[in-house]
Amino acid sequence: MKNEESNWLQQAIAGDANAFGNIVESYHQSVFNLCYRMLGDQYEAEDAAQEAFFRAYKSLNRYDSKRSFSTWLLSIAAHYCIDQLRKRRMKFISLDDLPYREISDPSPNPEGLLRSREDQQEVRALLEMLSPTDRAAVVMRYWYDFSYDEISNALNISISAVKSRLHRARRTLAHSWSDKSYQSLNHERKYHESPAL
Amino acid sequence: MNHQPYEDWLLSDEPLSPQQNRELKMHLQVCDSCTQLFESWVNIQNIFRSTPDVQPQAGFSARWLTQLEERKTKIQQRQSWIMLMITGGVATFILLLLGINLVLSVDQPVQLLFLGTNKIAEWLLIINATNEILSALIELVSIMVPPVWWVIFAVVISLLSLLWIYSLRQLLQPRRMTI
Repeated sequence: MKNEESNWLQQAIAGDANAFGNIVESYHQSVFNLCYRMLGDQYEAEDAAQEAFFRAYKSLNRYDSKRSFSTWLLSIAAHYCIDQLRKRRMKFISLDDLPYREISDPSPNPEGLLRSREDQQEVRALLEMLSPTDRAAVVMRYWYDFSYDEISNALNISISAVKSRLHRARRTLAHSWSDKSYQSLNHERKYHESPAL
Repeated sequence: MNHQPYEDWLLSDEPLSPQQNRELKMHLQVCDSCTQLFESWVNIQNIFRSTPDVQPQAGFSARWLTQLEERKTKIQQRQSWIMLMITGGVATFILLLLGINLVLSVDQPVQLLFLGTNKIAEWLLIINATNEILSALIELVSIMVPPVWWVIFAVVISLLSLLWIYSLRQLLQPRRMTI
């Protein structure tokens, strides 16, 4: 953590909301991105990221300065998203029912936009196959380069549980990708076959 | 053919031993299913790496600060309501007790009405007498004290009031608002 951020943190602990506002400015992209990967919806991700920052602000006194602040903050966001996903499951709402919304992209190129949108949809579809905790572990590992130890701390599970969850997630993802590739290959083959005379 | 160990090795994050590496390579040369799984995992990793981070709408921190203020206001309103309810409840309870006590101490309602009217008249007389005494006292003091002293007195009172308001603000200002 930079000296400046450390100062902001001290000021925020002393009750300065604007100092915490600076921390929000520094970390909002990574927190939002994690929430988006977890929830798959831009508006829900915004709400979840805002809530994660509120929760962090509320429990600043409990933050252990020996730990990485970003890990602590992302763990709050991940836990909130896991809870949201569990609630969503309880309400029997399928992720497929949620409308896909355009993601803001600074590139004005329409092809780039389309490609980016397709990629985001692909990633979203892949992550939706995983359970909330497995999804959090995958996002932390592959987007934030968290070590097993950091994931274990963030999700309050043992290192061996992290390893087994990640392994199970990789297996699920790879198998479903293989099946999908096989199906699309078959579909293409049928499409290009000449009709029988 | 048993694919289990090879699948585990393919999807493992841990480095493989030279022996495991050799065996895996040999297996991949003959097993289409494991090769496809390997390619799938490589593709997924590429997608994960190449997908750009999603950005929130501009002004996220400003929205957060605004929402924080809204939450603080809501909490203050809720606390005020709770205090009002508690005070109201306690006052109602005391009034109720007094009422019951009064009703029990008086045998007839006419007697109660007479007592009440008597008490009100008594209080009005006391207020009137106090008013007359105070007016006479003020007239006497205004004759005895020169106007310069009145100005000094007014300035001192104003300064003391300002000091009182400032200390009250300092004492009541919350150091940290818990949300």
